[in-house]
Amino acid sequence: MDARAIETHLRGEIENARTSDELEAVRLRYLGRKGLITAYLHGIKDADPAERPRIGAEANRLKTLCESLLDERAASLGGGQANPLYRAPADGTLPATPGLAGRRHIISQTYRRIRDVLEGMGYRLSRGPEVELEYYNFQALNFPDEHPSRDLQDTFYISREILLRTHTSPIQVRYMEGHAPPLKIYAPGRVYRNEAIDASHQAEFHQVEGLYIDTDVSMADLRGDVLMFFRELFGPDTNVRFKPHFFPFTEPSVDVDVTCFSCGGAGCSLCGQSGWIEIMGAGMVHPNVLRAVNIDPEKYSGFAFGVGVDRIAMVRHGIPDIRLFLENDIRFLEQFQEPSS
Amino acid sequence: MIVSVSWLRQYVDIGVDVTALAHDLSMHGIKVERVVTRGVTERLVVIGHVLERRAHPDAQRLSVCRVNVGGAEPLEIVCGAPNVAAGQTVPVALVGARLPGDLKIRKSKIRGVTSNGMICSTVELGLGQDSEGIMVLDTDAAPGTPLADVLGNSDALLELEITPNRPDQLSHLGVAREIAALYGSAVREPDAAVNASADDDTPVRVSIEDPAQCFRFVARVIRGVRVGPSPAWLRSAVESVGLRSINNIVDVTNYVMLECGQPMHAYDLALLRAPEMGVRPARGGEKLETLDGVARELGPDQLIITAGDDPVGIAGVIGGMATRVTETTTDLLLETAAFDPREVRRTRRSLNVSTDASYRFERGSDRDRCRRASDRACELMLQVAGGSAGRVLDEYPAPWPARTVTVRRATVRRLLGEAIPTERIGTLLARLSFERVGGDRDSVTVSVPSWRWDIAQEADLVEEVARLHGYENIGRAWKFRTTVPSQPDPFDRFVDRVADHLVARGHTEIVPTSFSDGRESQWFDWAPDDRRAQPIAVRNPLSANHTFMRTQLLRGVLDVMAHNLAHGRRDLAVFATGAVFLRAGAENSLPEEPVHLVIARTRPDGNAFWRASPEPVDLFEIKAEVESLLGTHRPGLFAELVYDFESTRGSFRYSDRRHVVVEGGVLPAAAADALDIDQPLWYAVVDLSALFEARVASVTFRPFTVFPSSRRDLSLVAPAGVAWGQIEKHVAKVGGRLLESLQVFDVYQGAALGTDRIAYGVRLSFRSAEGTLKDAEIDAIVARMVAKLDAELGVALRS
Repeated sequence: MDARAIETHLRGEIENARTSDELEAVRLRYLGRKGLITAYLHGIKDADPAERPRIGAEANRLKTLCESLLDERAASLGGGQANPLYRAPADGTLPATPGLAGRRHIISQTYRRIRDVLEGMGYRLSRGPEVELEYYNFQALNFPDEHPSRDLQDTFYISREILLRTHTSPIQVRYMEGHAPPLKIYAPGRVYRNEAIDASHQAEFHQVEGLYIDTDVSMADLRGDVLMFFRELFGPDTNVRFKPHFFPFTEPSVDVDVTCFSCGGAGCSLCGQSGWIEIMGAGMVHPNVLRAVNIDPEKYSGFAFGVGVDRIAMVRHGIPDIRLFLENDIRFLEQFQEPSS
Repeated sequence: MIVSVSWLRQYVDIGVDVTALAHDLSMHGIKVERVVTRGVTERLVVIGHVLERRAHPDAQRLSVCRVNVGGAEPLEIVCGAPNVAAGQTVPVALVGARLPGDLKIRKSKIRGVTSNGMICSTVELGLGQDSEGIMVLDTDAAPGTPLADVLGNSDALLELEITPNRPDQLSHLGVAREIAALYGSAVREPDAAVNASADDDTPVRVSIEDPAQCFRFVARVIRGVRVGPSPAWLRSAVESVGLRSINNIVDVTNYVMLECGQPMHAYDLALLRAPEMGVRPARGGEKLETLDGVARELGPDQLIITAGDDPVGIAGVIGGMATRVTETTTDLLLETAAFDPREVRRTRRSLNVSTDASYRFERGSDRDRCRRASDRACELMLQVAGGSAGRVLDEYPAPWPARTVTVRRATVRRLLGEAIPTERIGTLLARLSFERVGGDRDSVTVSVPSWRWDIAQEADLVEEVARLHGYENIGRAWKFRTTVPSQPDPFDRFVDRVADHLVARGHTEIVPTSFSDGRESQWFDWAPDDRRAQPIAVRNPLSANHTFMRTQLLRGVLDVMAHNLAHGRRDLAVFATGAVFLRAGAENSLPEEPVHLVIARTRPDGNAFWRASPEPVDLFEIKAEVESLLGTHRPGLFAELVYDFESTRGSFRYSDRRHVVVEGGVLPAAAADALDIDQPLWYAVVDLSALFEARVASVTFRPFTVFPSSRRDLSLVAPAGVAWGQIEKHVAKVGGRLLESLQVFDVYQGAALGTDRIAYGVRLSFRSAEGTLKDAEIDAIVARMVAKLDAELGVALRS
């Protein structure tokens, strides 16, 4: 074989070598004791003396070329050292072994964010039963019997005295019964309303309630905590505003709006052009509620606030229909990858 | 409630535009949910003259019109209405106009013909409910004149959210009072001047059985009225806020209710047995057909109005059909009363009916102003229906208890965190008609107006001060003195970690409903005394699906899986956590609410994949999930596994000494049928509350040995009926502390063994903390194991 043919084959074989083992075989085939280049050099002794210097030079060139090509290829194969723990796949671009990606439900994710913020602000968890006494759900919260304020919350009844809690506020009362001020708690949970189900009404949804009772706790403190809560939750540019409202268990009572996430306050279709989104009910705990749990309203005051977890998830993620939460369609659930922060 | 801004202007000056008014009201008093403009306010809707109409070249139902809208050139407009014709005067929405329903008019090509605007119907302009076609106008106004200028009467309507504590705001005067307070202006109350004729001798009488039920009853006679359609102003006033115009008399009663909040009712005097009005609970057996056409059986739960002891109305709710005012009525008896709100609420709830009157009465009416409202109605009736005012009888046995409340400057400061001077407190309250009757430098004592019976204590006045002062004017503060370092709730975090564990293993969390229709009790073999078979029933369920509270989480999970399978998701691994509701003790005690976890998996057979396809879900896969969870969160605690071999359904349990902590199995056939699930589905139910109770308090490090382990492989042959779990128990017991691990690496059943026998390949690993084990020691242990297995179970070494 002449030098040109050797070089052509050499280049092809090195190019085709896929493993270090194959590359080693190529090296032996060309540079080994019976290798092609070695044989070519040995051919010098049978050659015309005039040709000998050229053959010697060619043999050296081939040898150098072969070594450098081998090194290059070895480097591109990674390491160059044979890996006994590796078997090359026929085609590494074939799909991965199937597996399912799990997700927390968006309600859980949203609750977790709220919880983390409130715990960071010093609120501690408290909970109560979902099937609740009428007393805790209404009576102790200053909803008089036969009063239209009870119509604000259409109720599922189990019996005359037992109902499905319509809000997380009974937890406030239960906690205040067992603890003396100062108190600072949050109370999460599922609540129930006997309302026709549609895109914005669900018979079961989730709330988180906050309660803070101490001497001299004021509306200004409520404004501070609520602002901090929403800034932690929605970002530092968030603002809040309070509007008068009515809840039987707080006086004064307010509705809390936050800056619209979608337009940042400029006005858009999400916020009905107002720049604000109604998101929370709050107020100063009603003296009647404090008296019912033997806390002296002349000495102590406090505030309570409540948010809907479902509502926050809806406005936060542009979810148009509250029924999606309980429907649990995987196509819905899998969209909500947990954020890294 | 809906109020008309132009109506409000009768009682109060409003110096700002409607948008600002709506904003100010929302921020200081009444939430405005919506502002609706009535009539046409868009000035790009103008008068047009149709000059020519021709058929559309390419569409049967369309026509092409040339319309003069006052410009140099007529516009070409495509119109779909059948009634459009040359010579008509019509409203034209020009390009750029915005119409109700967020419709924006653009220049557009309709089947090849360019249309430069739209000829409008009343519906498109928001002026009517239905239309035969375009609106044809009868006006001399020049083409191009804005329609708004031609029609005049445009108005804005405010849709208000009136909270149950503020029934006084359920009227235009009530809202006007708020507006006046807001801007510091005055309310103009309408005069009610009535010249009652002294010579009417109608023997009117009023008897109230219990003044605690009916506080006041004003009966008034009006004679010689002509009942007929209302004049335009009255009709449009009641219709503007969504009521139907009936006749001039009924419309006046509604108008006065909308004006001042006092419901009232007019009877046809001639149809009353006697003008002797009474208020009493109904007696069993009494009947009354009410104005809604329903014949009602009455009883002692309902408070009624009687005339000559005949029922003629349901107190505060609805009048009787037989005695209503009709076209033939000439003499009236007008009732203007005040009832105990709870009575009205109880009555209307027992009848399952709600009216504009009951809505106001059950929230509370202003009993002090009944007479004034009656006078006002009489005045208007005389004005619109003629006739003359007759006798008035005003029975007022339970007068409004005048009330004073004191608010201290210190309390305002304590509750609001804002120092507001005593003077300003007094001024703000005065704007809301709270008259200052006492107090000192540090407090204000006010008398509460008769329509503000929601004001009972100091905090109520603090709210009035706060909202007029403005919440945005109150500072912000943070009190960190009560803040303690975050101490997460252990159970909350436990549930969270379990959920994250399952997510990491590929499961998706679902949140199932708390309700159930109870069908699951037919799917599982629950003993009658099993609490899961005795769900708590909801008394007033929303639907059959809401009949019971769930006693297990699984049912809801299965429904969700069925939903997803039906939508083409065949490969599902899900979990859910939540409370279940189990009866506890007596009928009237609250249920127990342990928190459960359900893990469930299903996968189609022969899932297509280029390498070996995954097996269908089976017992060993779900066991792996359970043991991964128990291993992570409570290693080695629930080793006791009971597997039900005999049953066709396959089920298993893990329990500790007290509880069944895990229970699982394959989906029962009945459930699979009912839910249309056609592939194997395995589940495990974990009692998280019990698992949490068994949690490890703390862990102490145990050093691991440096001495090597020794391995022995055994082949054990077991007779039929012996389960691996039994063998394992004996092996573990004999092996004791030296047995480090035990693995089953093979299970063989075949002809070579003879029928009914199973061979297990078992790998044992021994290790001691004290030193390297000698072969002889290990051999001795293995020999004891074999002997024990032979003696107890007839299991032998395979030779």
